[in-house]
Amino acid sequence: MNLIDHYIFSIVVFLPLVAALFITLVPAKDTNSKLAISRFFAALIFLAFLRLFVLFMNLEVSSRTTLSLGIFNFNVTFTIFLTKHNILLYGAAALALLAHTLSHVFEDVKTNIHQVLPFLLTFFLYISFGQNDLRVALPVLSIANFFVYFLIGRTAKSKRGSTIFRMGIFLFSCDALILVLLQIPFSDNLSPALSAICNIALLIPALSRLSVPMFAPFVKSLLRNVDDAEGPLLLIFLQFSGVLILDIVATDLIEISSYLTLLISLVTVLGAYFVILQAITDRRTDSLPYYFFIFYSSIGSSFLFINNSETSWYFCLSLFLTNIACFFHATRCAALVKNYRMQKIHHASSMALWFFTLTLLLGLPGLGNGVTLWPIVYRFIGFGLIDSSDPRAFFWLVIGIAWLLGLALLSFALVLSIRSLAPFRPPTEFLATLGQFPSLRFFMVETLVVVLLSWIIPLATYFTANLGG
Amino acid sequence: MTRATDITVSILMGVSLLVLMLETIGNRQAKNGLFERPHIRLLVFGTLIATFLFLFLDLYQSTTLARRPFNFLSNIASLFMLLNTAIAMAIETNGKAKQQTAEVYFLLLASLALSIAAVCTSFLVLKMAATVGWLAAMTALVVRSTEGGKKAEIGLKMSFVIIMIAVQFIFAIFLLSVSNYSLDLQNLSLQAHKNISVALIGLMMMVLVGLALAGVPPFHFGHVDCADGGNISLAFLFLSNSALQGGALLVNVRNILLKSGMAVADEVHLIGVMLIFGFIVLYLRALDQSRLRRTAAYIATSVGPLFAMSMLFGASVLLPKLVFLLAIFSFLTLTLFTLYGSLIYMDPINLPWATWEDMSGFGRVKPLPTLTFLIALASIAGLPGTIGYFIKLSLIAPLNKNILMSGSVFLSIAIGAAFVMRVFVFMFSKLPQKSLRESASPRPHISLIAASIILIVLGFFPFVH
Repeated sequence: MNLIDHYIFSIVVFLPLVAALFITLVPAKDTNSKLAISRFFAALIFLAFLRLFVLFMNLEVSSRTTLSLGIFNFNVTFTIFLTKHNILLYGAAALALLAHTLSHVFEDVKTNIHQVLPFLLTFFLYISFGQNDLRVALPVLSIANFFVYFLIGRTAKSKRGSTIFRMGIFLFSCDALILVLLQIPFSDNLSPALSAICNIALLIPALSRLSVPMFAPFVKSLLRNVDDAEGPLLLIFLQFSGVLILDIVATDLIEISSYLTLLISLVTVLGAYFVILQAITDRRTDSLPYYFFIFYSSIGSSFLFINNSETSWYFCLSLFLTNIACFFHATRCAALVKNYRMQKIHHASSMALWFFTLTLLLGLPGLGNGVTLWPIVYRFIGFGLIDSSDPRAFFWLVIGIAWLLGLALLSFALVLSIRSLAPFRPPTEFLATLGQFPSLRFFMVETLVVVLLSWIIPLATYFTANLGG
Repeated sequence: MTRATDITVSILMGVSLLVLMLETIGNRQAKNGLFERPHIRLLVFGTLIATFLFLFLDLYQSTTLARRPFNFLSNIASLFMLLNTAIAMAIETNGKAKQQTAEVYFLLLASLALSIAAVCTSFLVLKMAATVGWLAAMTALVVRSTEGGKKAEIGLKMSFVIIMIAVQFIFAIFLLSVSNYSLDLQNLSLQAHKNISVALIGLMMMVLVGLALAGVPPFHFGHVDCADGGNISLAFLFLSNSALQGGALLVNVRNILLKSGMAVADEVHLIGVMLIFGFIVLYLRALDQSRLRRTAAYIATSVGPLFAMSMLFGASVLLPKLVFLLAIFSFLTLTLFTLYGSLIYMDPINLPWATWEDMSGFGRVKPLPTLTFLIALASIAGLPGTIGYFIKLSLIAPLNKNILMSGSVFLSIAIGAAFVMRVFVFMFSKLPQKSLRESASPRPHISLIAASIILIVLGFFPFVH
């Protein structure tokens, strides 16, 4: 065990790559074996992470792992870091992978790419999570975007080509811009306006990956052209990479001025309202989780800049991770409801399940996203009430109220979408067709797991934040 | 020229004559194809390997190589020229055996000897003779391998390029001579008591030759056509070796300007502006092409200007100078090899009339060669996560005061992203046509896959600060 413990961090990082190799070696037609191996490795990765987390909490794991290669007196060193900031990201990615492999319907999958890419995406994420320099992490994340484009390109959606084209050009250009800017040594006496513009430019790759409207012009077509089964995974990958970039930029690269904070808050609120309007006009059941996802991402991004403290970061991380868990579950439930609608059936059990899932998204206090949403909203309003002498305080109060109002409007969109659900059918007729779909009981259990997670994530974040060393 | 390069050029010249004799005899006996003459191929490969090892050992034994790698630039360039020729022959071997006309191997070896002589010599007259000779030999090779009406177009354009380059060289020699400057580039430096302005015009003529050799529009006329019309191995060889020669000549001019101790930063930056303008024009032209080979030709030609820019301005804080220099040379060879090596396995792309629509969904039918093709494109475009990105980034820090240049580098990456995504959408996102589904081509060679992996893996190690 000691030997494994010694290499546990490397094991966690490189296991997804090993899994990808094993899955590739299995013949393409044997999808059941591929599925079994995927689940085995996903579970193994999660278990390895749990061990890593326990060791990290006991301060028994090294904070850096170095792999070096020497050729002709020329050494190449590759270092990955484990910190309080990224340990939970490792765990969340492992859990997302496990959830994806457990839920994915492999019978629909014809190529090896679909079976291997979740593991490769996780591997690339793990490599970049371990970096504290954006000049190393961003190229890795940037090239990993090609996997996302591969998956979008394989869907049957009509606009997939233009989605890939627009998204690809935008993200690659943003990444190139930030990396070019990092190469230019700016003088310290830069004017405040120019400094703010540079800071905003440095934030664009993060905010666009977090799907914050105004920074991600491709989001609307992305949402409409992702596959039901793989769409959530792609969005979650973008979310993870966005959170990582945001952390590095906000911590190391920019000085958060009040001007920048106000600007980001304003832009995110306006973007969120744009999403709300989209949600009200869209009304499709399967799109709703995406709108909620973007909404909460916007809140998290805005809150991170309210004050440059560690506490803000952990609050945000907690919201981002809870949002991911709820979103993943909600998209699966939405797909189930969509299936029922296509069959023109609906039943009390499934309706109850859907309603319960929606409560996770609605931000009800103590449930789903609400566990971390309300402390954040209180902080927004608190900033406004505590220091009333500061003219910006009133602005924070308005922003806090604007977020609450936005949530109410998004809930209204949700009610509108529920009105168009399929008619109620008697139990006998419902049960006759039930065999075609995944078990409702399974979804019930999954909902409970997400509820538990929404509590575990803030607790784990709290313990990690208060860890010494 | 050093002693080692003297010997190398002599060996190559000698063997090329021997090959000419063998080819002539073989040609009289039977009109055989290139691959039906293994004894000649063996001789050529053997010569290439022997000269490569000889040059490599000579370089390896030099004690100042690690400290002053730029003093050995011509030797390193010669090594890569040998390597490129071997690769070009290997690409041809991997591809479909096409009926070749005679004297192909002779022309290959002769052009190689001439290109090494052009890079290594410091005498301007000899440089002119070798460069013009190399262009003539390569034009002969490309024209022989081209089919149809394209042959005349290439011949015409390349003849014009050869005449232009010869005239520019002659003009440079004339101007330097009349202003009493040495024609040996090693001893040439601008002096205040001589006619500086005339000598500067002479040097600018040499710059124009360098730009034309590197394939920078509007100073060249035939690079894209050679890369488009000729066969794939010759396109690779022509583009890689012309970039090496152009880059070497531009470095020579820069060294003369720096050696002169004058305020020449503006002149050097002017070369940079011309180069960057050139490769942005090539990228833009690549975007509006509907035919595949033509698009690939434009993109491949843009490697030359980028290589020359890296040689002139590139710098790395993290890497030793020698390793950085080798990285630039490797970038040139690897990207062009991956690009043209992939094209070998993409049969429809080789048809001159094949358009993007014809290739829709090819990536779904033949994922591996399409993927390597895409990686080569991404690397040339300089997308983050590829070695090409670091090559482009290595230009920014040394040019920190020049916002225009940094902006142009960013612009080139953005335009590059557009054509990479265009290829990606056509190849992987669209459904394959019936004719493509039925086409069968062999699995890509392991060296091609390894080269594309290197292009990606090196992109993960930041070697610029």
